[in-house]
Formats: sequence, C-alpha cells, structure tokens
Amino acid sequence: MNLLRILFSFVCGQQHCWVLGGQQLPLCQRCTGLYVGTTIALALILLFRPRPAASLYWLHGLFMLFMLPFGFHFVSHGALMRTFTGALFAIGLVYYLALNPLTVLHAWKPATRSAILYYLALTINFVAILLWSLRHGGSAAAIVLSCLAFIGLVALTLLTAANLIFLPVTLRALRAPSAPALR
Amino acid sequence: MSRSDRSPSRQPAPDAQAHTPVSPRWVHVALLAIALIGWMTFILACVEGPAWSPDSSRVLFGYYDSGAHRYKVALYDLSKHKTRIIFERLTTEDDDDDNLGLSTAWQNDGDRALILTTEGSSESNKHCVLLSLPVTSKGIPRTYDLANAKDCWFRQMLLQQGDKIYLSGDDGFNWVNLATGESGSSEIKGGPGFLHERNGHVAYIRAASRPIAGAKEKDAEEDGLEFGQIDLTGSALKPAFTIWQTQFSDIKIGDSISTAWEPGGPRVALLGIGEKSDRILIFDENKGPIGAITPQFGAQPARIANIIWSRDGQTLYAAAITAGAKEKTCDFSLAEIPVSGAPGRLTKIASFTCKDPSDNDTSGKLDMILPLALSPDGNWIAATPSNCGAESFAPTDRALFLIDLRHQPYRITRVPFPAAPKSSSSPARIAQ
Repeated sequence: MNLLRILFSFVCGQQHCWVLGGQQLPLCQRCTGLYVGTTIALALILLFRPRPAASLYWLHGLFMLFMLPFGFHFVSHGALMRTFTGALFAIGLVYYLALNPLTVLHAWKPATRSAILYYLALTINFVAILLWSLRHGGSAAAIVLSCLAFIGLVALTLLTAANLIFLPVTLRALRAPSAPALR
Repeated sequence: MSRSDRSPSRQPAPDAQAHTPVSPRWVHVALLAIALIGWMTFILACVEGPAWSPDSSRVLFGYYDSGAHRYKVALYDLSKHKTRIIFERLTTEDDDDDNLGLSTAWQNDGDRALILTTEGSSESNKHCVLLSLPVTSKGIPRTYDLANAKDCWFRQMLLQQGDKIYLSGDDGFNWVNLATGESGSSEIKGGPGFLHERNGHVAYIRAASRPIAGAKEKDAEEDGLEFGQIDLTGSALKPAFTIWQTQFSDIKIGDSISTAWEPGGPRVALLGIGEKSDRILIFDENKGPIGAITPQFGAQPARIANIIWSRDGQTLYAAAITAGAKEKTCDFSLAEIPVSGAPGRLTKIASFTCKDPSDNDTSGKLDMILPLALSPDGNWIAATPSNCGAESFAPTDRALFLIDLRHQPYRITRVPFPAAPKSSSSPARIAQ
C-alpha cells in the first residue's frame, strides 16, 4: 500500500481519501472513481467494442462534462458524488482514448441496440458496486480497490502510449486524399 | 482477436455503410485531444493543492455553533455590514470543548481566507489541513496537507513570505507552499516554545533552565524563558536574551499565558501570573527587562489574557474577566493598559456564566475562548467568545464584537453569529 501511495502521489493530491476498515486508500475520493472506473470502463469496452457512432460520442462526452460543475466546486457535493463523477469521467475518458487504437486495429463490433444497452447497464451496475463497496467495504475492499485503481492507472498510461504509437497511422490516413470513412 | 471480429470493420456490408453515420478520423483525433486535456486537467486540479483583511475592511472569525455541533468560520464586511458563513465542519468526539478546532488568517493578497483545521474523524485518518478559500474572487477552494501533522491543536499560522506560509508545530514549525502545494516541517532541538510573527520574522519564547549557583541541593535549577528569532531557512535559533525566575520573585514566569511583540519595535510584553495579581513584564530585545506593569482597574479585581500592543506602542489591550453583577456571572471586557503604568480601564463587552473570575478553570481558558485581534490600521479590535456554547453566553452575547478605538468611550458594534444559510451548499465543508 505504501508503494501505491508513493505512485499515486504523482497524479493525486491524496486528500479526502476513503478509509475502509481502517485502511486508507492511496488516492483521493475523486481519483478512486477515476482509476477504478478506468479499469471497469476498459474491461467493458474491450468486451463490447461498440462501433463509434454520434450517440456514443455525445453520451461519453456528457459523462466527461459532468465533471465540470463538481470538479470546479460550482456545486456542493459529498464523498460519494466525488467518486461517482470521477467514475463517469473515466468511462468517457477511456472511450475517447480507445477510439484511435481500436480503429487502427479494426477491432470494433457492430453497435447493435442490445449491445449498447448491455454495455450501459453493466457500466451502471459496476459503478453502483464500486460506490456500495466504498460505503460498506472493509479492509479487503480497500486492497481490491487499490489494486483496481493501480490497474486503471497503468491502463490509462498504456492507452495514451497506444495513441501515440498509432498517431502516425492516423495522421497518414488523415492526409490521404480519400480518407476512408470510419464507423 | 479473431478474423471474424475484424472483417465487419474492414469490409462493411453495403447496407450498413449506407445507413451508418460517417465518423471521420479527425473526430477521433479531436476527441483524443479532449480526453488527454481532460485527464491532465483532472490530475493538475487534484494535485494542486478572527483575522483582519490586510486593508482592515473585513474580519474572519471562527466560532463554535454548539446547537449544530459545528465549528464555523464567518466573514464580516465592515462597509456592507454583512456576515456570511464561508466554512463549517462537524465536531467529532476527539474535538476539545475548550479549544476552537480551527484558526483563521488571510492570504497576503486579501482575496483568500486561510483556515487551519483537522480533517478526518478517526485516529487513523485524522490529519491537519490548510484550506485556502476564495472570498472575493471566483477561484476554487484549495486544500493543503500539512507534513507530519496529525492534528491542528495549538498550531497557528505565523507569517507568509512569498508563496510560503509558516505555521507553528509540535517540535518546530511547518511550512506550506501555496503555489505548488509542497509542505514540510523543521524540527527545533529542545522544542520551539511559543512562536509569534514579528516584523516579517518568526520569534520564539521557550523554557530555559540553569543551575543555581551556591544552592544547597546539588542539582537545583532555576527556570527561565529564552527569547529569540528562528532562521526559517535552516531552523537555527538566534537567541536574543533570557530572563530567570530569580529576577522576578513575585510571579511565576513559567506560567505565562500570553506574550506580545511590539509591532515594528524592539519590545515584548509578557503576562505573568502572580499570586496576588497578574503582572506584565516589558522587555527590550537589546536591553533585557525595562519595566513591569501591574494592571489596575480600580477596586475591581480582574484576570487578563491575550495581550496585544496598540499601533503606537503606548497601550496594551487584553481580554479581561471580572465578577458580574449577578451571582455566578462574569463580565468579559476589553482591558486598556497604558504602558506608562497609569491606571487602566475596562470596557464591558458581554456577560457569561462562570463560577468565579479567579477560578483557575475560568482564567485558564481565557486565552483560548476570548481572542482579540487588532486591525492592521490600528483603529479596531475584534473580540469574540468564539469557543463558548449557548450554555455559557446568552444568545445575544454570542457574537463578534468590534470595538472602535477612535472614539472615547469606545463604540462597540455587535455582529451576531450568522444563522445557518437556507441553502446548505453555501459554505465550504470538510467531509468527516
């Protein structure tokens, strides 16, 4: 846990941390939502790989925009809301970061209505489980959530790296006179 | 990834191609940029991090709302005659009834309030934090964690130099960089004693002892107090002078409950507890002891605390309690004590229930519950029974009192503790 505390100190102020069963999480309440949410979101996106569409762009953008009034403290809110907004932000962030790599890898699946509904329903369920475990979890939950947050941090770093690696391919496609339409 | 997974993307069916909205790659690049900027903003936002305003126009004051079990900080604007709560936190079982669980100061720019308070409700997650709240600008609140600080009891904000703010600590002093969020602490060997801001530096007063020459007992020592300044860059002490108990046989200097450095001058006043009456000793940092005052307020015995200098250095002000008109009541007054030794004067501020003004329990709490603050322009004194609940002070006397020193007799303005806002979203809060 101490190693995680040092690691997360580079990306998190580590104030307003959850304490579960006497075990303090190595990151703040909002970052808990962000990095645990990242693990959840990445798992679901890799599972469903819903082909990009305007509705999904907007939906995930909305998830990220939700952070604005809370992150900048325009709206008074408590600990659970901090984590909730962090998790929503993570879902939008991961989807946007996954767009280019999955497109280059041609890994999208058809975005059927039922697949999108499953994807959203599972997302909501996992976020609810996260919030419940923060409210009622003990020290074991603290360890599990810390590990999930670590996975989330690594995943975000890898996704960013993947975007940088695939950026030349994307830019080449952009410069091409007949850039293929994506779906 | 199986080939069947890839094929729909590579070779979409003509029907699907016709009906699916086109999503050019530049949208993905733009969304990638938005995502990365969002994440970076998230990280940066997360890692960031009664006091008179520098222009004497506003007062910050903390108080204990016993009914709501909350410590609160309110801001009073002298020109608009308006008060608003800017911060509150629930009290916990660990909070001390006799000590307000927070202290306040202004950031040097006068736009932000600094509040030092303990965060967390249990031993495992309790720690001292410094909050910076915007009061005139539309900035965002910032929280700074104090290094190696389990709680905030008896910590005070001392002075701000540039972006760095220095605070008194258990074994030395703490500092926080308000721009970068960095914090640290410096230990002082032998303990720092009492720390005070003094002309842009940090002055200390701490206990000293030395063997008594010619004493019958071999290990006999006498107590003393060492005065000096702290070098904030290296935490080294620069002692100025030391006073010894044998120099002041009529008071116990080790029991001093209040000291005040003269603003801009070389003198320091030390309030000593005497057996018959309290005494104020005046020292010059270059010459040592230069005088002693026994505060006289007519026939009325008074206990005083929290001495502060007037701007011209001619007068000392203090919080005083005397026996009230009714049984088991005391009067909280402003004591005006001329440094020349002339008789002093009391200006009554409020009444409260107490056993006896000379009672140790009452006088021992004086410095904690009745703080005074002189405005930077020297025209006002703010006083408040900040820590007392409704059981001690009548509702009308639980207030911020502003004493206008420009008029004789002094004019006192009573600013009631503000009612809780109807919207619970107004004040900043610390989640427990």
